[in-house]
Amino acid sequence: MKGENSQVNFCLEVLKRLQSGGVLDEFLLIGSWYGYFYSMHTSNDIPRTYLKTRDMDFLIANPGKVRKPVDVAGLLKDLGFIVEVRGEGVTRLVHPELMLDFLAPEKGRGGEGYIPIKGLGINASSIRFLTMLTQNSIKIRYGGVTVKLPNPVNFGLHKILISSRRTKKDKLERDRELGFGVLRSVIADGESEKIAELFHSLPPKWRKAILAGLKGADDLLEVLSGK
Amino acid sequence: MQSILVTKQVCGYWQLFGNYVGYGKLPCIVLIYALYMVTKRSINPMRGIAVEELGNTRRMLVQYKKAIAGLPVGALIAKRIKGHIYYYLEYREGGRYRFKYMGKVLPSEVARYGENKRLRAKYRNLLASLRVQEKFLRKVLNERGK
Repeated sequence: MKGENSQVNFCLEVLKRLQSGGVLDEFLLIGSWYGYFYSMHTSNDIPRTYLKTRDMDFLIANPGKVRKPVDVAGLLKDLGFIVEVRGEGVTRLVHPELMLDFLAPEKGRGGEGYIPIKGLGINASSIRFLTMLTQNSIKIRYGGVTVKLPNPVNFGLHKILISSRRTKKDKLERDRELGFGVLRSVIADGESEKIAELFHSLPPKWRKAILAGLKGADDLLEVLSGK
Repeated sequence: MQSILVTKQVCGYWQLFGNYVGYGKLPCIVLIYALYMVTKRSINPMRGIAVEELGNTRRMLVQYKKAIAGLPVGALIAKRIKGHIYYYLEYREGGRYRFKYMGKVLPSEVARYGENKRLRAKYRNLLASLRVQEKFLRKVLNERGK
């Protein structure tokens, strides 16, 4: 297996292709790679950034409003990516170094399925709670690309929220650790009131799940109760 | 290292308890260590990632094999005969090279064959790296026991 640098370089090459194709601006980078790019943005120490996997998750905030039609699979074909269509119809682009997943916020009620993104020639997984990540996104410039990331406050609380729904313990632990790390970095930047503000604007059930997820992290619980 | 220290500590307490209630020392240590490792393994993120990645690698191996099989076989060879260029499709059959006469071929078709040839070489390289990955991940997981 190749080293981390080769994977990061390959990731940057993929992002450059998406950027030159004019499509990178449609995506927010989430998942385990968020920790890596966010750690480049902040001077605070984010633990567990080395635990990024090959999965690279792109959130499409507005699946119905893609500005420039681009064949995403075609952009990356010569790098060796192939298209995998998963059971329920969701598209994934796979390569031994990286696997690109496309996600979209689930609108309304119903089972989690897929949303066809006509302009991009892909079907994105439709997943709950992702709307939370689309508000107040930030942009960072790294390695020649400008990547859109969710706001760290939203991302941290979202990680804690979804950790309560995880059935696999190791994924739960990874979500919590990344969420804790990002939220602590926000606190270190002196913006703890933003965490409390977002937390108190969430539905009661979500708040309850977040409080359950923060069990044991007294410093973070103190911030949330500080309103 | 930390797991060994914790295990030693737990075993120490258990040994005291075992001596007190009259259990044999060794079975208690083995039992506690096994329980500790099972608990530790179930929440070890590194192991979780390795298991997930092995599954991904195996799925990709199948997909790349399918992708290679899906590409048209052979390479287009140009031959100049009496000042004219004619194309032949070179492919292997039963261990022998065969040449199939294709006549005059459109430039777009020539480019398509060239693209397929490049993709096949790329996919084969990636397939080889996936095999290395699978071997590595299996080794990682086997070392800690399945």
